Amino acid sequence: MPATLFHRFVLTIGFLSLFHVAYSAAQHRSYLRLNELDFTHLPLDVIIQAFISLFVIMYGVMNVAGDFKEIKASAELENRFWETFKNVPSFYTFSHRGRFLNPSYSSYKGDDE
Amino acid sequence: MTNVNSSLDQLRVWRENNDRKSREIIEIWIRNLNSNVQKLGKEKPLVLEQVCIAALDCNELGIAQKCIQELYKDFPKSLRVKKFEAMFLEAQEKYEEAIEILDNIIKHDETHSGAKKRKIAILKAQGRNVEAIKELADYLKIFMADVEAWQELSELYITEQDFSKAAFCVEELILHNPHNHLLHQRYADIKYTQGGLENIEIARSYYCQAVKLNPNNMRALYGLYLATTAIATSQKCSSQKKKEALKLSEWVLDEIQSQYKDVEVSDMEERLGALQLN
Amino acid sequence: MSDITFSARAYCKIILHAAKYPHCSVNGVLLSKSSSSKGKEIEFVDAVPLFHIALNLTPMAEIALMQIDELASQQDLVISGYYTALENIRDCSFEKATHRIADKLPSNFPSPCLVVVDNTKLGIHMDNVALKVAQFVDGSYKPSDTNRICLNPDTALDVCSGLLERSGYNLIVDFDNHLDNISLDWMNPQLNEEIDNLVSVFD
Repeated sequence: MPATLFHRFVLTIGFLSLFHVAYSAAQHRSYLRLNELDFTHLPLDVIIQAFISLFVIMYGVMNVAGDFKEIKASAELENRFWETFKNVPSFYTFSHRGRFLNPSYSSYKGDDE
Repeated sequence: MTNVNSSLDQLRVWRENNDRKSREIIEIWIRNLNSNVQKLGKEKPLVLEQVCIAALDCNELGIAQKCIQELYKDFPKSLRVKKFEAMFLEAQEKYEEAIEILDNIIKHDETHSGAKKRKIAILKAQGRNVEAIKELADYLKIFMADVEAWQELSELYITEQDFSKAAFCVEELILHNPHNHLLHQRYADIKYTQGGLENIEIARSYYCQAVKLNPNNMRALYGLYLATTAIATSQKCSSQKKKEALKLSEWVLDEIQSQYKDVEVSDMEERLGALQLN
Repeated sequence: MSDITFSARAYCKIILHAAKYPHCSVNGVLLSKSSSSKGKEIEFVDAVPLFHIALNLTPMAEIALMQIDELASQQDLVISGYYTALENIRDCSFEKATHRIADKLPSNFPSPCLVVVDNTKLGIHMDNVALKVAQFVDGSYKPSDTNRICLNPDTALDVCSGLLERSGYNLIVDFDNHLDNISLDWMNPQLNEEIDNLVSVFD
């Protein structure tokens, strides 16, 4: 499945939201410092937003990165056949009957004989 | 434009699969791409190479020449393009001139494996298989990790019916690619062809491995059936071994029958029945 | 004059098989009526294309022959010939064409034939039979005179050209194709129909 515009958009939103959370957390710390309060924990809304953006990013990445591969090492090879596997392009030879079966060949075959 | 894109997609699939569908490639080229060479994008050199080989396959020399010219425009000094020029001569059976060009390439770059392989291919094209085998063996002494060359050598040995050496090449390939069911099956095929109880027992193990890696490999299933029945009916085997082989052969026959279950081919029962008689 | 006759089916299948894989050696077997097994006269009524990959390996050939033999005997046919087309354009010698199947044939049929496709005579429009035949006489295959080879009906060449023109080679299925995809039938019922149609058109 190719990465759609929608999934890229979701990923961007996720990252923006995560940066926003980081910024909020930093602001909370500076607020505490200014009021000379002790740090106990982050406000609940910041924590929730952090988790939500994490999941949004995970969803986006999974869809943008492309298809998953099988864990089994031989899985990919199951769809290979001798038909294509035996073809080795660097050793192709051209002295075969292909040239006589080319439709345009018969026209100048006559000149040969 | 969509035509060009779908053609490019199709060509890419064939390129990645190693399909040699020369006639179809040429058809696509003439129909959609010939007049759109500038729109090929970043795949342009790859597509041109692919079409060039296909054109040589069909003896469409005009198309091949056009591809080579286009490639020269982008890469005027490339040795890789020069190799195609040699192939162009090969297709016209001007082998001496082709070898001259290839020797030139090798003089410039002694490690140019492509040119060396072409020289071997020329020997093959001339029908000088024995010399081709010798050259290829020498080549493999230097480029030992060249999987393609090992594969080609094994095919050449099979055409020359030198099965023990072909088996050696396939062993080498299995080391490079231990999960490929095709190689295990090919190794077993070769061992079975060699004959003799010992070889057939080896064949049975490799067919088993091939079936394990891909339960749908029909050649491996049929081969396993042949190998196990051969062992079961052999006179030199202990009864314990025969019993095992018989059990395995019954299992494979079931397996083969279940493969054919969803297939509509006429007289299937008779065809499979032919196996059981023996 | 005893003749070696090829039916349109047999001839077209040989040529189409060679045309489908122009860059490979291909082989197959020929079938004739089992009642006509006496004498040197022989008529091949059908051909079964076998392989285009690694011709010299025997296991799959054994499987194929067992199945073909079974189906053929039901239709009163017998495997009586072996055909091959070699990879190299200049190769059409009988020495290179011999194969274990060809060596085994005499035990199955008294005077079998070894048929080689003459690559240089191939073309979309053929004006003569592109085959060379050797018949098994007195313990070995001996080349037969070309004027002993004939086609039945005579229009078989036109039928073959007609098929080649419309890319009929995509229709033919050999045993290797069958092993890769078992829903393809190497008896080629679809192609048989096509050939019979064309034969009646040219009549």
